[in-house]
Parts: sequence; structure tokens; C-alpha cells
Amino acid sequence: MTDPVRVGILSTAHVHTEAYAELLSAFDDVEFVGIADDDADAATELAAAYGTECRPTDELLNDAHGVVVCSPNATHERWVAEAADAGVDVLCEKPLAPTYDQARSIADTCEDAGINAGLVMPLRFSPLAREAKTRFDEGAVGDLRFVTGTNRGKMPGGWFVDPDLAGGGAIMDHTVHILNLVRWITDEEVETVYAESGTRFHDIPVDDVNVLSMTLSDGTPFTLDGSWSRPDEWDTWGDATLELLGTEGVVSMDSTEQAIKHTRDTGDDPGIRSVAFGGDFNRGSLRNFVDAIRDDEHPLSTMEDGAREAAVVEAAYESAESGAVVDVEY
Amino acid sequence: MQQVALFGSGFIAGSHAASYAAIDDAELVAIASLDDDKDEFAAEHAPDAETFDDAESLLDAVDPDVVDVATPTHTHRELVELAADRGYDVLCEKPIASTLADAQAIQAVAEENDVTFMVGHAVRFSAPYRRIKDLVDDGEVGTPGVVRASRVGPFPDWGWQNWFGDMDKSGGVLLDLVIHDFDFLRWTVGDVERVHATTETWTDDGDLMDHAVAILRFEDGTVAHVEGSWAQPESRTFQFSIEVAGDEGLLEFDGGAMRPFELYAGDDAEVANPMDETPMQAELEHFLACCEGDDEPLVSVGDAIDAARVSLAALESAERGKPVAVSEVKA
Repeated sequence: MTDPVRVGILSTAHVHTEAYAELLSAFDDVEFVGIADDDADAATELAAAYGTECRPTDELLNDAHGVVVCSPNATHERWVAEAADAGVDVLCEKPLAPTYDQARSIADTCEDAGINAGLVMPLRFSPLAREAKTRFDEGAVGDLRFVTGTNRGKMPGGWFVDPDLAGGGAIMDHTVHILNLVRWITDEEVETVYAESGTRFHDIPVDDVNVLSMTLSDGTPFTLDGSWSRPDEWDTWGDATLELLGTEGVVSMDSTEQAIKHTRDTGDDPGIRSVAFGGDFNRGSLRNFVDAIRDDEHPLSTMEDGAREAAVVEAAYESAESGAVVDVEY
Repeated sequence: MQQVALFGSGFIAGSHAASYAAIDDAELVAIASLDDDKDEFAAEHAPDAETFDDAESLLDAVDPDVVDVATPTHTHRELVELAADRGYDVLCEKPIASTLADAQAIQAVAEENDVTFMVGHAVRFSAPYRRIKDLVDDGEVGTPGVVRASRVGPFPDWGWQNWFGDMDKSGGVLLDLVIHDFDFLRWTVGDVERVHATTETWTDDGDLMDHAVAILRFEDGTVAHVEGSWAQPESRTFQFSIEVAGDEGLLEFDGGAMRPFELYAGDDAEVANPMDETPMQAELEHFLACCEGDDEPLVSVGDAIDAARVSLAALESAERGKPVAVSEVKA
């Protein structure tokens, strides 16, 4: 057995942090070397639950091969820069940054530092998405003509609805998953964006309506609904669907279909819920990062991907503001 | 007993004829069609009905109670004018017309002659959609925020002289197919302010493969993603779905996933959705009741024109590559 890969976590602000801590503590070939956070109490508590320590950032970075950045969007730049300075590999929560300039600067920083760096993109590890990619590459749809996707979710609350920390609402949070998948499957970039947005569901200072109509670089239309439109009482966290229509056929995937309907009368949360059985895609994303550190290569979704996806999000906000179709500037 | 004259002998005319057969106090007495199959059509649906080569000779020979226009869209104006000018109540298939000018001419002739006139927006008579409308009206989703409606299937290759395949005649999916959703959503949510639509169209052995998404912004701020397709492979039979998300709740209906009745026998499989009454039957019964009594048709001529206006705005948006205000539609 080779030496374990030493991985830490920077910031515990993101709702996924605990899931990542659990995964890191469970991987056989990983030593979970600690958590650094502006909020030492939160880091200490989480560290204790998963057999590691809360440590000062510089000390943790001196000890780690790689770190997972779980801060709010607006502070990704600071945390990633510290890791890059220390020559430590990075897996950053999505979206990379609230603006294209910031995202581009992060990508440049990582490249200049020569570290391996990328973003958490769980859907890339969904068997449904991999099947879609395989069938698409085999030519099942013929010439691509139309792409439609959804990634509707519940309103996450917390810093996700703070314009200063998140940089926006549903457009910021729920555009990049399906966008990343479409860029990967089709090997095309988004050229134009039209957005209908607004705040219709919640009393929050950011958008919760996110309905986009885009054009890919080969001219294919691509629409996406990534609104925070699911009620809190919905039977699952949200959905991830994608349909690729071409001259020969249609490939369609829907994550909510891989689920069991569970009804419970008792306990803290009675009612009906869906229990997904399609796999733990966060596990895939973290596993890929650990392998990337060991193999000295970038994670599957790179900082360049993150920068390009940030450009699309920025164009969507510009369109929502102006009411016009906006060219994406990379 | 109300006597009905039917114009048309195609796919949708067959659906009308089958519905009249199921309605106790209606009788299909005459059929006019330019197509050669009208005797075969009559034998199947209404063996006692007389058949005619065109609408004018039918009305010269027969004096029905109501006229049902179930012909291609581009022929609606001429046929509605013919019937309404002679004072007949008229039911006309959707969409009302393929241009605003034709639609307004239809409105004028119906009003001048004071006849009962309705456009058959059958989705308003579909049980699940009607239930959704009632739930939204009752506040069960709170204030609507985002709606998603879809209506997808293979190209309708049964049209007379392939009229569905001619964009000038049918308007493709934005005018012919998702006008169902445009009308339903105007009825359920309200007036549409602007439309951004994208279409992809190609031909495949004479079939017009047309796929479109229209994103609607309603005057109250609600956003709708409306998808229509004639570009699906033959293996993907026609399916429709709708979701209404509001600030207090969510309604989801997926007709494609619905398998309430199944029959498997040997190599054959059958999935069905038996109901006491089809949407078409409910629509025709409603119209006949309006003709006999004082009730106003559920779909006013203004409603039919406004739904077509959304379709025309969507077509124009797709053409121009930018959003179009529904009030901009002038032709």
C-alpha cells in the first residue's frame, strides 16, 4: 500500500461540507488531516465528529496534499489563493466565483502555481450522465438539434441568499451543474444567453426564478430551468434532467426516476419522500480528486471549466437585467 | 336532438365524429370534404350522414343546427365565414387561424351574424388540466412562479396533402401544437407580456421535424417554459405534461408516465386511460349546450385570438432571435 493522500477542508460554510468530511474520513487511502475555518467553533465540532482536528490555515496547508474549499462563493478566491501559494491541490465548491473576472483570476492563480485544481461536479459521476455521454458519442441522436435540462431545487437559505457572499441566487447556484454536463457531453460552449428571472417563491434578496434559453457554439438551442421552485415539503432535494434531441433520436435522463417512494407515519419528519438509489455522486467527485492528487493531474472538472461556466452565469444576470439576448464573453 | 354538419374528414374530424356518436342528443347528419375518403369516413363514423364534395353544396342541401369546422387551419376563415353568414352556430378547430387578419375576420363575421362561435381548445376540457386550473384558482400553489408545459411526439404525417408539413399553413408546433398550452396558461395564469422562443426545424422524408421552446413572461411576472415537438422518433408516442410551481405549493402532472390501465397479451401491450368522457366529447357537449341555451362558450373568440397572438409572437421571436412583446403582434 502506498502512502495515504493527505486531504483537508478549508471553510465549513457550504452545506455539503459534512458529507465531504464523512467521505474523506471513510476513504481507505486518505488521511483526513484537518479543517481550517474562519469559524473555529464550527470547524472544531465537525473535525471532532470525523476524527480530525481544527487547525490554522497555514499549518494545515503545510501538511496537506490537497484541500476541498467549502466556503461561500465570494471567498473561494481567497481560500484557493492560499492553497495555491502553498502548492496544495484544490477541489473547489461550485460555482467558481460570482463574476467571470474573479473566476478567471482563480483559474490563472492555480495555473501559475502549477497545482492540480478543479471543481466539485457530482453529476459527472452519475451513471445516468455517463450513459447519456456514451450514447451521445456513439451517435444515438444523430446531429444534435435541441438540448433541454432542468435542475430545480429547494431554496437553500443561509449565505446562499446573501448577495455579498453568494453573488446571486438561483441563477448563480443552479445553472452550472447542467451547464457543465452539456459542455462535457456536446463539447460545445455557450455563445448566447437569454434569461427570465425574478423572485417569486421566497422573501429573499436574490433571484429564485432561473429560466434560461441559450445557444451553443454549433447553433443548437439549449434551455435550462434551474429555479429554486421546489417546495420545502417536496419529496426530494431537487431534480437533474437532461434531454438531447437530434436528427436520429433522443437521449433523456432524469435523476428523480432512480428513487424509492417512502411514506412514514412516525418520527420527526412524517410524510412522503423519495429515497434515491442512483449512487452517491459526491463520493465520485471526491474520489476523483484524491486520484487526481495521487496521479498528479487535474480533477475531471477543471478551473477552466469553472471560469467558462462563471461567464455564462454572468451573461445570464446581464440578460435578466437588460431583457436582451446577451453574448457570453470568455 | 341537434343536427351537426361536419367540415373535414381527416384525423381531428374523426375524433369529432366519434364524439358526436357518443353524445345522446347530437346527430352527425352531413359531412363535406375535399378528400376522396369521405364515404369511407361516413361509413365508419356516421353511416346515416350525407356526404358532399364541398361545404357550400352541403349548406345548399342541408339545414343543420350547428356547423363543425374540423379542417386545416388555413381554411378556417373561408369556412367559418360561409357558415356564419348563413346564420349557423360554428365550432372551429384550434388554432382559430394562421394570421391575425384571418382571426379578426372570423371574429367579425361571428359577431355580425350573432351566431354562437367557439374555438375547440380541448385542453380546457381535459380532466387533469381542468383540475389543475381549479387548484390554482383555489390558491393551492399560492402565487404561481414558474410553469413548465410540454407536448411532444412524432410528426403528424396524416394531414391532408401534408399540410402540417407546410409552415405557412400549419405554423409548426408553435401555432398548431403548444397553442393548447398557451390557451390553457392564459386561462389559468393570465395575460402574456412577452415571449422568447427558439425553434429547430428540418425535414425528414417529407416530415416537418419541428422542435420549439417558448419562454413566456406573464404580466403578473410568472415565467413559463413551454416545449412542443414534432421531431420525436416514431417510437416516442405523443406525450404531454405540466407543472405549476408557486410560492406555497407545486402541481405536477406527467401524462407520459401515466399507466392507469394496462393490458399485456402475448407480444401486444396496451396502455390506456379510460375516462367517462373524453376532452373532445366534453368540449362538443359544452358547445352544443351553449347553442341551445344562454351559456357563453368557455373559450371566447377573444381568448382564441389572444392564444394565437402568443403563437404568432413566439414565431416572430424565433425568427428574430429576440424576445417579442405580445402587444407587438399586428399581423
